[in-house]
Amino acid sequence: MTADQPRATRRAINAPLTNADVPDSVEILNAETPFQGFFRIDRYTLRHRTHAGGWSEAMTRELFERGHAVAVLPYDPVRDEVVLIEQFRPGALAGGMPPWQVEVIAGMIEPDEAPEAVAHRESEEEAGLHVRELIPISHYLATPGGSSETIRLYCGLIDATGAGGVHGLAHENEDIRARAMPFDAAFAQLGQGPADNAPTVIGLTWLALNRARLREPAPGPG
Amino acid sequence: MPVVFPWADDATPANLQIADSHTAFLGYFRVHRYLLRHRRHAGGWTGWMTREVFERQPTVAVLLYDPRADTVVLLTQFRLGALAAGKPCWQREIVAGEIDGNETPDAVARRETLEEAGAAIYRLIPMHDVVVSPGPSTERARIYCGLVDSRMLGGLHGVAAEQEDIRAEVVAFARAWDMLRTGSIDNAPAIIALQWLALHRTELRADARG
Repeated sequence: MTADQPRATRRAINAPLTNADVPDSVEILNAETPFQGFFRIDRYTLRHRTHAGGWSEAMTRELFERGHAVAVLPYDPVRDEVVLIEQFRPGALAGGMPPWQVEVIAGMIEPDEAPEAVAHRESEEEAGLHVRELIPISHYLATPGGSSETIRLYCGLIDATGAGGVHGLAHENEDIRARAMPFDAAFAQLGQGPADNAPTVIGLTWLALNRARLREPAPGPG
Repeated sequence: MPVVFPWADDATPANLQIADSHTAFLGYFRVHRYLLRHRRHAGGWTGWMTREVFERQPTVAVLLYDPRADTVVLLTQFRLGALAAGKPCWQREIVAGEIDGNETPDAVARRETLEEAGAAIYRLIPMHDVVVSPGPSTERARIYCGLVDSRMLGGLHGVAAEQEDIRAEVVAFARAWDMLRTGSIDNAPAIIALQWLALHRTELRADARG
């Protein structure tokens, strides 16, 4: 349904959408930014085409803007090990979940950065890992209604020998413990609390469905 | 081999200190701003840091599955977050809704299924209970598989007073899986639910055959 595709592939990320950014099936009647802190909240009044034909009534909706992220599940297909990181997360704390979350590696994409470059850099900064190949898993919306946040999730092939330890940028108050563990032990963490966050669940379940293929030795020369 | 994360459940004052917290924005949504510090993995404390948190109600999401027909029910609706992200703004999704007040997640799952898809669930199976974005947001999603009889399902649904305009369609699991693989299903609740179903549907189909 091409009419629903956004007109522009890129827009200023520091301002609300305008009608030039959206398909003909949506009309923005008003847009403002009622909150600008480290994050931003935009408030739109808009209407859109309905499934039955015609237009919806005008509606007011708020939108949480925090940018876009890259996430990497590091996997060593030879040792059948993943590396997960453990760090303090204020959203989890305030949401009543374990505040030290066990996660895949993640970082925000700065303007004009390539996602793959962010994946390599964050793997180095957060876990001291050299990723030799990135396999795209998904480019998804964290929560499609109230937030524009997208995550580009990759599986990063690594050598997990000697991986682990404390990492993170001290000047950003990052304090990250990386641990290598067998895939089965990581997958068994799901449902226990600390690892129950969307990027980690999607990454580990993707690996459960694909790791047999990744473990097959690549056909070599002779 | 068990892996122990000794800090994971530990938000005691010995590990975490909050010097200030206040509401920085209050509209339909709310932003809370904290001044805090926490213990470091290597010992000692971090510096004091200011962190904003986007406060959202917990949600319930339900993938409707008919194990006899091996079909799922997908919803299509307009989503502002997708529009602002530069993704198709009519998103293919699973049933979802916020947990208000004292409602149980089970009750929300059944109510939203009726409102958004006109369906009655005969068995509700918990799949995952996740933080959707653990850094900036409190949003927590309880994701279920809801077993249904998908014959007669489909069509337009939604609560008009909430400006919901939802098209429900019954599709074969294999087709939904193709949509996931090609990226035309691209939101976390639907992905998590379909992945779980990919791992468990053989046993659900065997149960249904009795």
